[in-house]
Amino acid sequence: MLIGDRKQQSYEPRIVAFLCNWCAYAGADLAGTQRLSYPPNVRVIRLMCSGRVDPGFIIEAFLEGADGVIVAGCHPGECHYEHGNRLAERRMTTLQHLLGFIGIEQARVRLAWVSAAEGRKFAQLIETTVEEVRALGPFQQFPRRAP
Amino acid sequence: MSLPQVLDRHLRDLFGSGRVNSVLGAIPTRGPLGMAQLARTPEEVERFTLSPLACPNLLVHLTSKEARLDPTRFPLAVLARGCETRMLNQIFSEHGLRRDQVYVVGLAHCPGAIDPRRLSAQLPVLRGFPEATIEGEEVVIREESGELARLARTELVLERCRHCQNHEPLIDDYRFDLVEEADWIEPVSVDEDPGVEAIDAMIPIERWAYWRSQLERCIRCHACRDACPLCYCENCILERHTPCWVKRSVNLPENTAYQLLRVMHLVGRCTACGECERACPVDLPLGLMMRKMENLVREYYGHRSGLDPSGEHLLSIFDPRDTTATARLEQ
Amino acid sequence: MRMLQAKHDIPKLLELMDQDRELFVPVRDEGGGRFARWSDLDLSVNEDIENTLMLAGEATRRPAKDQLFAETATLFRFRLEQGDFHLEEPPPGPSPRVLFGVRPCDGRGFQVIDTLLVGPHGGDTAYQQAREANLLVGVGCKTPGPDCFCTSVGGDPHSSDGLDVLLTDLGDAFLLESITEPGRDWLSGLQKHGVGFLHDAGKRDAERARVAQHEARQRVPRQVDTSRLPKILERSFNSDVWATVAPACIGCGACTFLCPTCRCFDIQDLVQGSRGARVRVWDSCMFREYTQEASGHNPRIRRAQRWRNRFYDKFHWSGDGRGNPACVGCGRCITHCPSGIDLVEMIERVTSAEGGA
Ligand code: SF4
Ligand code: SF4
Ligand code: SF4
Ligand code: SF4
Ligand code: SF4
Ligand code: FES
Repeated sequence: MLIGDRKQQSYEPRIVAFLCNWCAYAGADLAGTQRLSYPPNVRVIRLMCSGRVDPGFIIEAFLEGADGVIVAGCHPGECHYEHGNRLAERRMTTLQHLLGFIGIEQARVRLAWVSAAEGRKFAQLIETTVEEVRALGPFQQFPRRAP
Repeated sequence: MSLPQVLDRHLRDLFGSGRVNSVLGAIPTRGPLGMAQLARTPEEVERFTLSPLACPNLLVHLTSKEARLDPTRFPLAVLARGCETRMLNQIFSEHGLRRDQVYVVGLAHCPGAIDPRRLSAQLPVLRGFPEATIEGEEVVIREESGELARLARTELVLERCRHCQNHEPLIDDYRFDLVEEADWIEPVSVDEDPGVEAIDAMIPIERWAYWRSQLERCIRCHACRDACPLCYCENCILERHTPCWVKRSVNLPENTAYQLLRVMHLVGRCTACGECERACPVDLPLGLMMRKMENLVREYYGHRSGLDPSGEHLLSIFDPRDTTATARLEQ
Repeated sequence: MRMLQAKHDIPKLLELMDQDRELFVPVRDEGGGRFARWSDLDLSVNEDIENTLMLAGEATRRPAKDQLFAETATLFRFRLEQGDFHLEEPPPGPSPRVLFGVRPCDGRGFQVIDTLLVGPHGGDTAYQQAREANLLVGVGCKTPGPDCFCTSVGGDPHSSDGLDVLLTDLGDAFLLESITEPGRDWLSGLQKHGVGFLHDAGKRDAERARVAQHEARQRVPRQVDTSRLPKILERSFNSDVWATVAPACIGCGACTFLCPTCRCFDIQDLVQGSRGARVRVWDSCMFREYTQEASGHNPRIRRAQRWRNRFYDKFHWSGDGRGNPACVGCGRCITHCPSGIDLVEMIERVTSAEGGA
């Protein structure tokens, strides 16, 4: 993903979504098979569990030009690895506040629980995130410039 | 100014009884900042000082790679103030060291340690082995030539001392009172931290303008990491090439990523000792970030690092009530 | 060539300097000061200028070296196109610039850097271009900093080594002296435009300057005998003295990155998609990674070894090519070492431990 000059007007938010294999990714799949429409601004990265998401992944996504990041996994109590999502919860909460403290708008980082049956919830998650990030404008704080 | 006799004798005896292989303390230097030293023989203990100018956090020499390359220094006795015993607890709790490797000489009633930058700002040239003694609310600075100045204690102590909640050792094998009667600086309240609050009060764009101007200055010398007693991973991700989390180029994006990653690796572990900020050669206000995160984990998770030597790591456990904290993000 | 410049006219002079060369000046900032582009500063009143520009003797915490030997310099770019690599033209060197207010120790520092990066066999193109593009205008140190010891390593608060022009503070005015041919041309160019506030200096002014320079020399706060070091170091490699710093040093890069003569670098490729750049970044012999070999072996794994290396680099196996040590005595590594390690004290210790034998 290369960073170019992106004018506010022609701006389409780029969202990176880290989805757990068992729930959120399945939910995204369901949204597809149900032919629910949601904005095409999302790049999905499938992981086995939301607990696999290292805070560094999110920092890297922003460095590489993401305007917003979603981490989504199974509902509390339903993680296929017992409590990966609960650990993700603490990591994302602290990271989001750290980012917030240095001036990265909180809406750019989102944590959500989406089950395999929640195709509609997934579509809505994307829609709200895209709208909110669109309103914030492109991520300009610390994207890497092209070398 | 060598050690008081009882302490000196006690430390020497530790060698004699075979209890320790070395003692970690600090010695005076020509400048306003003491220097860590490792005594390997009873005689070397003589050079140590308890001066408030001996402010470097010694624990970094317990966990550093250098220490790991030198297992013969353990078991080791360390002179530790209250804040440092808290950090020792944290290190024990994460199995960085075993309790039996460290003989803790707790320095009690700590009146604070002096920040060499704050001192230098008030007394520019101090290169004649200065000595400092705390007398009530004053710090008396002397050199061989005589008394140089009396300065206000609150103006001179380290930032961490202004926030200190741990004047007394949490653990010790031997206790020594630094002053006869405890006489602390009223700590900045845990819920009010003017520096952190000033940033919290800003809108995102202002916050970023502030941090941008700071982070742009970073020269990526790694002093903030190297000074931290809790940064002791064998393979630090801040210098790894494969995978390369942070590029070595020095610019705003990489400097920001570097700092965010460093802070994230310390969330819930950091005891806000402020060494990272003190070590930074270009004065980045790193303590603000560390205190912000310390306040946050206390508020959200009731967590304070280092209080419990068998405590678990904040980010390796969870609590059913976490969801409430998470939900607050969405506001 | 000598010229006199009333102090209150300094802003005019700086404006003039900024005309045909880009001007960089030492600026106080939250991080202890660094060089910055004059035209980026917003200095409306003279008072601002006096408080902001660091001309009296305190050195910018970041040495002037970062202006010529940048922390990160792009050497060239490349791209992958249809399976083939294409090299792009290296970026053009900087346009002509003038660094005003260089401390004499920083000026001498460039001579040390030159020994590595400007070689008879080529050298570093980016550095050489920057070296040629920059005219170095030094200002002598009226009030040297707390850890300055330049006079102990062949320097002086008014040393002109490595500079093109040197200014001496006479209280109400500056005396400008050209040192090199380019400095002379530049000064006469200035005078042509600076009619009215730049005057020819007389004998008396030169006399005043000599007194001021002599006085400044007396104010250098720290002295240490380095004359015997070359001999002593020949037999001190395995001395115990190096072990004394090991328990204190945390192995950071503060001393080397702030040093005006440290010139180690690493070369890295930054790749993003099908494009990339080869960059040169600062490196430090105090980092463990610096000598990490691919096999896993590290010949300088211990801190005492790394500290010894820095000391030997400064006082034994490198120099300024003119018989002086590779340390110019700026004192930055002393003032800003977070562990309280004092190079001057170490020189004393090495000398007394090994000197007698
Ligand atoms: S933080 Fe507290 S215990 Fe630590 S040095 Fe300061 S006053 Fe003493
Ligand atoms: S100590 Fe300061 S300059 Fe060095 S890497 Fe850390 S933040 Fe950057
Ligand atoms: S304040 Fe800085 S040096 Fe101290 S524990 Fe926290 S991160 Fe480490
Ligand atoms: S001497 Fe000081 S500044 Fe240099 S690496 Fe050691 S601790 Fe860091
Ligand atoms: S070694 Fe230290 S005193 Fe010598 S030039 Fe480098 S920073 Fe300055
Ligand atoms: S498996 Fe879905 S969050 Fe852990």
